[in-house]
Amino acid sequence: MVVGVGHRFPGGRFRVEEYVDHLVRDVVGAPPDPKPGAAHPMVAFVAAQSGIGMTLEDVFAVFDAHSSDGPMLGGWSVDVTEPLRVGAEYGVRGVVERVDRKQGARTGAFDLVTVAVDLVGDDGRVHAVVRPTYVFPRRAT
Amino acid sequence: MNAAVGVKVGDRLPERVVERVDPEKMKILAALLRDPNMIHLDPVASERAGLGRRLVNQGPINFGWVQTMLAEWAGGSDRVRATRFRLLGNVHDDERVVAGGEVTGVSAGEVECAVWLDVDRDGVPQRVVSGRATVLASPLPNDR
Repeated sequence: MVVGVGHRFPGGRFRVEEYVDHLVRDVVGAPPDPKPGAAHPMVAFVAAQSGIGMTLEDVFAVFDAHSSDGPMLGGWSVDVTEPLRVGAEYGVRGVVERVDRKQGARTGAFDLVTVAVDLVGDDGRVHAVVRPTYVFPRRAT
Repeated sequence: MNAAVGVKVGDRLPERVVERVDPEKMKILAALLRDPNMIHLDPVASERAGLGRRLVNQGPINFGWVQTMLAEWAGGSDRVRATRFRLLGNVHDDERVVAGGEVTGVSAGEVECAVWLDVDRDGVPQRVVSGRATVLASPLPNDR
């Protein structure tokens, strides 16, 4: 592993533009929300990934992996204290929360890496915590 | 309408069926996320990765269908307060998937659910996403 638990990503900001919510709803076949301005729950995924301050390929590189190695999303969660709003801007900060080396009978060695990403509203409070868990095959180790 | 009001443990959520996984949606999400993984765009890349010569749907789309089911059932996106998903398998282009769920707990103002996404393979459902969700059952200030 290049980095471990506690590693912080650069972070940044993410504005939930109307087109982002529109495209997410198109992708998952969701109708317009009955409450105008309420962002689709999957927008939290987009906000966390887009606002962490690095491209996904660069995130893979932090963990000594490349998209051609076959990294996967093994799990994902979100805990919402304040629903995300279209038009709102959020501060994004991410930290590596957990790293586990596993050994699969068929897959060989792989690492499970969970990153905790806070989406912080203009009021300074954490509105949502997103946790993607990546699977990094370690075939050469 | 918030269908999560008045539910009881064991109640099933209305299923959400996607009759055909559309590869065009994978392109949209790849662009939106700047996702460099070509297995969502090029079947040759999937084959090279040992995943068969078919496009692999992005995991967020898989659980996004479940979140959509939850939001519709609960009466709005703002009622979906927590979701946890394990991605158990791949979904490919042109496959048929069904999102479902069941109420596992009811407390003051909140409903806990087990949720899932199954892919139909030769008429046999295969679970590709499993998880849990918390939705609000109590009124919100902006409810009409």
